[in-house]
Formats: sequence, structure tokens, C-alpha cells
Amino acid sequence: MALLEVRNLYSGYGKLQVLFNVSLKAEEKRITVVVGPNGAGKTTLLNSITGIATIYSGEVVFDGRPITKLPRHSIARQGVACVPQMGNIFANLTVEENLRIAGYLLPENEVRERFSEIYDMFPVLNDFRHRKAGTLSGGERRMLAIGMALARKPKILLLDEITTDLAPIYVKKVLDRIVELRDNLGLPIVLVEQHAVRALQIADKAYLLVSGNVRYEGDPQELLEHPEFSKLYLGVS
Amino acid sequence: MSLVYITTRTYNFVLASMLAWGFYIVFTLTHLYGGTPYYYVPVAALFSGLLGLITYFGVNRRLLKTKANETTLMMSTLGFDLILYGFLNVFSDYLVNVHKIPAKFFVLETKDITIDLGGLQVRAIGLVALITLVIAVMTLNTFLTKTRLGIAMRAAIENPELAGALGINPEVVYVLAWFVGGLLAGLSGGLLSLLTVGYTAVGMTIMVIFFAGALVGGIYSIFGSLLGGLLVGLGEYVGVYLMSTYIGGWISAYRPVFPLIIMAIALLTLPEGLISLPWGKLLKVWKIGGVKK
Repeated sequence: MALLEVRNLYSGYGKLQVLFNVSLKAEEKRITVVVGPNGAGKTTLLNSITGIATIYSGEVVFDGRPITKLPRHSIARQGVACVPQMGNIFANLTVEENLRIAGYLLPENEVRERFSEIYDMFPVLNDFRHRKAGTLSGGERRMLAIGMALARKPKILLLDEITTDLAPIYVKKVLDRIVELRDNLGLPIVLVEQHAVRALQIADKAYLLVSGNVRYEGDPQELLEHPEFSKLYLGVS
Repeated sequence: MSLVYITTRTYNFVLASMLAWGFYIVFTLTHLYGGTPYYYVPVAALFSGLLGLITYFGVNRRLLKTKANETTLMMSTLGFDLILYGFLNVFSDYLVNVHKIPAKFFVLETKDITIDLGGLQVRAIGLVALITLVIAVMTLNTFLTKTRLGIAMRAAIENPELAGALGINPEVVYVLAWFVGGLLAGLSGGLLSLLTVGYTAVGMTIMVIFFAGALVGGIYSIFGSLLGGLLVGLGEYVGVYLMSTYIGGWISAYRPVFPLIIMAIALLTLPEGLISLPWGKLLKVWKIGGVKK
């Protein structure tokens, strides 16, 4: 059974409709990757799940309960952790303050216990724990953003274009960590990515989103050979 | 003022009434129950904190929900301030007519305690105000940097959307900002009642200094505003003293103009306030200079 299910979703921002009849299932201990070109509606899909976008019709069900009408902070309280592409850290807080506040919903001692796990996974954060997050490099910021999501002990992790603008070495590092999160913690992950080929290599299930419509749902390897995917990403007509 | 502005985008002019109510609470309770006015300063602070909550829930919250712009939010506080000012006048008339207390203009200086500092007799208010300032700044600093709620507040101020995604209810932050803002205004009013003449419009006069302080320090920074307030307050007194020495004592009648002059100079030279100065670099230069010497 899917932990997160999006059913026949029509959504957008105000009067601007972006998604048309989109359905998606994210299962336990699986990496679900959503790929698509710029403007396909990938971020809007995550924004619809997390209560930012306007939902016109359709339903979002998490852990058996509908969360479609809930405000953002209530959805977060259900265990849905989202790392947005931009503005995913508090630049004026230190690294440790960022992690501390990320676990706002958990008891303080439990959050502190998670610090060591997070620092083990991202040692660079331990080195810079008293530095203001705004002084970190792009790759370090992404690691902090993922660390913040983990500090919340989430039931599911949604990652929006987490590797965009990163140096190739950091792209590999970040994707390796995502695989570790699935394998070691059994965490279900929904990964929205523009680096489609690399993301599909670590995925268990894939969706191709084009102009607000789902054009493919299924095996990631098959998507790599799908004619529409080749057309969009490799320019093959 | 900064605290409310950076959380709810509202220039809070209700602070004028909160401050004036602080004056009247201390004055009334001292008259009715006796003792030193200092006993009643915490009551004044709590009362004004309550006024902050009433303003938020009665006016500001509704407008924020309709996504009102900054001008509307500011005008609403001006309107609500006039309502509270009206109530204060009614209260003042009530004290005069029913209790026969001279509440139109009053002075609490005579009720102040005198402290003996090695033979030097000084009024307690100078010391109490300084200690209160230090405690208030330290408490606010500890709250904002060490407690979870304080860090959540800073987080919500910096990025409300991300804070919401982490499960922080921004409403809690707004409520707290209005309460603490009111609390500090009431505290100031309560202490100022021992320093200056009290009357119903006293808040409006002192509000100019509040506003100038916030703008000089930097409206976007809590600590910048504190620094600005200190500078404007000191500047006002030092300015009047110097001008009186060189021009004549008559200039002191124009004292309220000094904060406005300081504010105008600050806005022309540092539009974002003192906080926009590169303090890190300045301190480094100062330190290096100090070592060389």
C-alpha cells in the first residue's frame, strides 16, 4: 500500500492551473522519481502535497488520511518533510540552530540525539556547526537542508531539485546519501529532478511529467528508453 | 516596534497608547494603594502586553488574513491608537471626577526613592532604568538565541514559508511579537512616569523617539533598534545640553525636535540604519588599530 497517494489532482496558483489530472503513488522504502522538463509542474506537484499550491479538485492522502485541505504546518506535523529547491535553510541561523529548529515538533533531547546521526552522515556539518548557514557553499547548504529534514524524523521525504546548480562531485555525493537514506533508514523518498538520467539510476519507480500531465508511470529503466523521454532529454525525434 | 514590524509588516503606532496606559496604570495604582511606583511597573507592562494581544486579535490578524498591504496595516494601528487614546481620556476623566485624583497632568518624581551612593544622593530611577534595560536586552537575547521558541521566532521572521514547512505555526510568533512589544512599551511607560510629566497624549510625544530610534538603528533588526533608541535618547539630551551651552537655555523648549533631526540625518546617510554598517570589519579594524598602538 502506498504511503503517499495523489489522486486525480488539478492544481495551480490562484487562477493559473498547472497540473491536470495527476496521480502518483509513493511507497514505503522506495525512491520515487519525478522527472520532466522545465515548467512541467514538478515543483507544483510537491507544493500541492505540502499545502502551498491551490488545489481545485482531486485528493492527497498520506498514511491513510486525507491532507488536501490541511494548512502547511499541519501537513508537516503529519510527518511529511519537504526540502524545497530554494530557501531551504535559514541563512541567519547557525548550522546547529537550523538543525535544532528543524526538529521543532520533537522533544528537545530527541532532536539532540539525532544530531550525531546527522553529523555522521554529513561530517562537514559537524565541522561548521557554529557557522552561520548563509556562509556555507551550495553543496553544504543542500546537505544541511537534507539534515534538517532528517532531524524531523519524517515518515516521508520530498526533495525538490536537490542537485540543481551543484558541482558534479556534489551531485554524486548528494544522490549517494539519498540512496543511504532509503537503504539504511528505510525512508520513502519522492525526488523531483532535472538531472533525470542520474536520478533514474537510483529510482525504484519513475514518473514523467510534461505540461502538467503524467506521460509515463513505471519502471525507471524503461523510462530511459521511452521515446518521449528520449525526445525531451536527448533531442531524438 | 521592530519586533512587530519584522513579524507582521506592521508599523505599530498603538505603542503610543500602550506607553501612555503604562504611565496611568503606575500613577493610578500608586495613588490608590500607596507604596513606591516601582511595585506597579510590572502590572503596567502586563497590561500593555494585553493591549498588544487585543490589537493583534482585534485588528491586525484579520487584516493579515486578507493580505492587507503595509499602508493599510499601519493606518489600522493609527486608528486603533486613537480609540485607546479616547478610552484613556475617559479613564483620566473618571479619576478626576469620581476619585478626585488630579490625573490630567501628574508628576511621580516625588514618589521616587533616593539612593545614597557614598554620600551622593541620587534618584533610584536612573539606576533602575539602566538595570532594567540591561536585563531586558539580556533576556531578549537569551530568549532569541538559546530557547527553542526564540530560535523558531527568528526562523519564522527570516523565512515564514520554510518555518511553516517545519511545523512552526507562524501565528504563535505573531502573538508573541505583539505581546512582547506591548510588554516593553508598558514597561517603558511605567518607568518614564518617574521621569517625566504624565498626561493622556504623552505616548504620542514619546512615540516620535521610539520611531526615530527604530529607524536610526534599523527597523529590520531588534538589536539595531535598541542601539538606535539608545543613540537617539542620548543624542537628544547631549544635543540639548550642548546647544543650551552655546546658544542659550531657551533652546531646550525645542527638545522634541532633536530626535527628528537625528532621524533625518540617519535616513539621509544610512537609510537602512546603523545595523547596515559592516560591524565585523569595523571591529576588526578597531582591534588591529588597538594592537598597533
